[in-house]
Amino acid sequence: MKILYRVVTLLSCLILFSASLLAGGFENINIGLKSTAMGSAYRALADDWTAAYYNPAAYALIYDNQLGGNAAFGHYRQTLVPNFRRTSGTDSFETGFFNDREIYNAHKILSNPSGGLVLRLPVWGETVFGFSIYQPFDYNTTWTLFRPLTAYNTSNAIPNDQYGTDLDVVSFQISAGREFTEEKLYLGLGLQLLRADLVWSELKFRDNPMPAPYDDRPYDMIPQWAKSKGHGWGFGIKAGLLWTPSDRINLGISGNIPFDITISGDSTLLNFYLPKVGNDGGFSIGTIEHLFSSGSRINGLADFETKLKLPPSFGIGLSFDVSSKLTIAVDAQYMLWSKFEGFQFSYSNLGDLSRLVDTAIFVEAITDSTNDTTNVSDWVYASTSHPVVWENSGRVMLGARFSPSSLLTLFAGGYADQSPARNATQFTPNFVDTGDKYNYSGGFMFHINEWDIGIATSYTSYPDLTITEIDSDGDGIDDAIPGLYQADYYETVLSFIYRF
Amino acid sequence: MFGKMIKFIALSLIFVSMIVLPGCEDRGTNVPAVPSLDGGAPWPTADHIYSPQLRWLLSNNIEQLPAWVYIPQVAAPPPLGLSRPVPLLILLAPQGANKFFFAQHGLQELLKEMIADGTIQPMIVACPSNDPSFGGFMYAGGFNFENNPTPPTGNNDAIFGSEMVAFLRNSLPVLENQQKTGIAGFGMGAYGAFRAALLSDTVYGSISVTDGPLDFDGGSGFGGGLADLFDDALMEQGLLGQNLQDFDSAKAWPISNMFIGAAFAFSPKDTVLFAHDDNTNPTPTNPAPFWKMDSTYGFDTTISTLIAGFNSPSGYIFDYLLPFTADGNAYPLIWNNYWLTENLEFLINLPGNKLNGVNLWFATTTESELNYYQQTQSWINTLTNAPYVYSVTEKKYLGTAGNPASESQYVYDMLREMLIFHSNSFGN
Repeated sequence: MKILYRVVTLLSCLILFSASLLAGGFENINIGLKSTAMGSAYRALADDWTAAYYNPAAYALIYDNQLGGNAAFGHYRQTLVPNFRRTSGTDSFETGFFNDREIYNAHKILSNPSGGLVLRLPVWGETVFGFSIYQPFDYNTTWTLFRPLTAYNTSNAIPNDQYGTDLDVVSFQISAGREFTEEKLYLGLGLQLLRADLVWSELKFRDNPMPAPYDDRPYDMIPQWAKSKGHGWGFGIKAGLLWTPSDRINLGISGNIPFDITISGDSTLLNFYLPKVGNDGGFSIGTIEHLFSSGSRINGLADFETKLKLPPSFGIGLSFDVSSKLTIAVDAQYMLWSKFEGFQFSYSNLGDLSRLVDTAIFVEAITDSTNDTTNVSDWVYASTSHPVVWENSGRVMLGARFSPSSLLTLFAGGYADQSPARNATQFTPNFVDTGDKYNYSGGFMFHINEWDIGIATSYTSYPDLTITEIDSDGDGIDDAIPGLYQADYYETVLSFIYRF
Repeated sequence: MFGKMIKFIALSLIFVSMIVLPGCEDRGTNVPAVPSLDGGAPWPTADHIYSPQLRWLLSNNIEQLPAWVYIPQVAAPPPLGLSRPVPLLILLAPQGANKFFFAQHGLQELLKEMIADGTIQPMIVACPSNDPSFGGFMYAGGFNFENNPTPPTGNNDAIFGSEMVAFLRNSLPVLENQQKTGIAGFGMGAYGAFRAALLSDTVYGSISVTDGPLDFDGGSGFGGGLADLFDDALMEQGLLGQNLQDFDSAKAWPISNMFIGAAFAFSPKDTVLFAHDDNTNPTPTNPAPFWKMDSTYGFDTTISTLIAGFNSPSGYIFDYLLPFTADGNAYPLIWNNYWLTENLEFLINLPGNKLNGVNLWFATTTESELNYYQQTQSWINTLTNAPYVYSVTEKKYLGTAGNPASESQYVYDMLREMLIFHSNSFGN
């Protein structure tokens, strides 16, 4: 019991002082109705197929075979008031961003289905096996933030998905949970086959290599829009332990180690939107001056590859049956987000640049500007992303379950979630994680014969974040989109479980 | 039991709706609409022959001053517009720039957008070309030529002081009063703008400029002005301490060009046009004794052979008068008598040449080239202290990392502010 008291004390302290230890990033915290509604404090009492995610050991406590499914609908509701100006001292110059205006991310209701099958089989005595499909990592946002400055070029519109991330990591998991010490200790293991899909778009601004007046403002920076779409496969391991020191108390410990996933694709698009200089002087097609003054768009195509380094995590959870109707649970998790380094794209199988008549000239111009006659493609296909520096982060979760009758169970909970990007300066709209977050959740479930049907909803509040510098490390490369970032996240989960 | 259940379900649905519905509402993206644009257009016949003002201009046989002129929609003739008279702004380009200089820096698009969204009132904007010979003649020429009203620089004082305004007023629906007429300039054009306004002090009601050669001798506390550039011009050609006979006018040397162009404008008599042995163009143009320089003439390679004994007071065969000696010091006879008497500080002291009631706006940066910042500060100091005490709006700015505010880098940004300044100055 001493250990139990220590654990309870530790978890209580974590909750009380959660402001200083509050995981975020792009982890999909809510898998399943009950866990969503209980603020994800589910590690110690996971009693349905979602135990595959929270603690595979809890499978051992599932005495019925189950088939379950969820339909989660999420909405990232984000706002950015850009302040992207080139500054020098007290002077600032417009760049084409919609500065000082509230811009919203594209409205999307994200659908996130998941499901699982749990079977109790007479293997190694009696072992509960499960197969589940769910998304442990998920992020989706798209922004339109920029229009070239008046006079730059109106002949080629930049697509609306200027900044966007659509990252889905789907886990196909086989799990097994078994009792090891009678009614005391249960262990579980899950093997994950991970499929990652990534659609990534962003705008970069490249120095115009031409001399004046072709590189004078507003022609000094050439917008480069890049969009990459690819996928990759990987593996992961989940392991868990469940200890029941008494009839009323469960203690769960679980961890997850996902291995790096190489994402590759053959559809990276690199578009350069060149300036259209007023009264360009009638330069002939085929000259450098014409190319850089006539509003051309140059398209590049390439294969790409990037590495998705997913963070390992481990956590501990405790549940306590206050009465036969009420159970409370508290969890804490620590996630090694420092492993995630952002996306660094490398290109291969470089395609010919479009606009053949001007391609040689474009190459010549770049060659002249770089004084490098052999690595022209290095300029064109230079990596379009920058690494991020995230930190490890913690989360504490608190939830309650109340069953007023055999027909109904009510859930409530919430969590405090520490942002891995809390000190990041490389902040772009591709990942809007503005700081430590607070989640409030609730839901209910009806139990009708072999069916459990319910709904849960959750709201996650993000703090406001102001980013002030474009190039925080002074290396001459833009690594942030300054402005005021605001965010909220709404999620609703519909669920069913069929016991047989 | 069922009653409680129904009540509970109803409350739960309300709760869920409150949470979910705000999150589901489609706010759009709030991306601003593509701005509407004024329907005006450049005037296709803006180039104009100024005769006799340009009769003896070097390399300009047809006596024509090219110009780019924007006519807003409201001033265009029906059916596009209403032929409504609007204010006039003349924009003078920096050294070496042609009539498309401002158009190449976004002027047309700025005008279209700013007029359409009401940021500025509709105005006709005229952008004459700076002269291609030596990059320009400081928009000077005419003044001090007592016996020769048509110097080889052209009589720019007449053109920018009155003739261009008169031509535009006669040709286009331009409001004909001083408050509705502005002049602006960048670099060398800044000097031109003030010079025109000082020598024709009832024409322009507002002046806006960026840094330029606004005070040739700098002035106390502000550094050396053009005088500090004498040795730079010589070093540019590798001639410091060498023979000035080799001083060349090739455009690769912008400082030298500026001095040569200005020297033509400030010299006491026009030059270069007599007594040369150009067999490719032997026919002199009347009236004698001046020959008209033809654009086919091999100017740069021949000039050094025309200079002989330049530094000798009696040896001016090639009669443009550089203000410095071969060692980079001021040549007082020329500098004091012919250059400083063209300085704005001198011109403002001439009878009647005042800027009373004229709105003044400066964009100035320490990063400007050719000591323009120091000269501008000295000129502002003159304007804002006794005996003038004019009100001056000064915008100080700096370039960003990798993009210093030199040459024409920030013309686009300053144009926007200049247009607003003049629009406000034009009044209702």
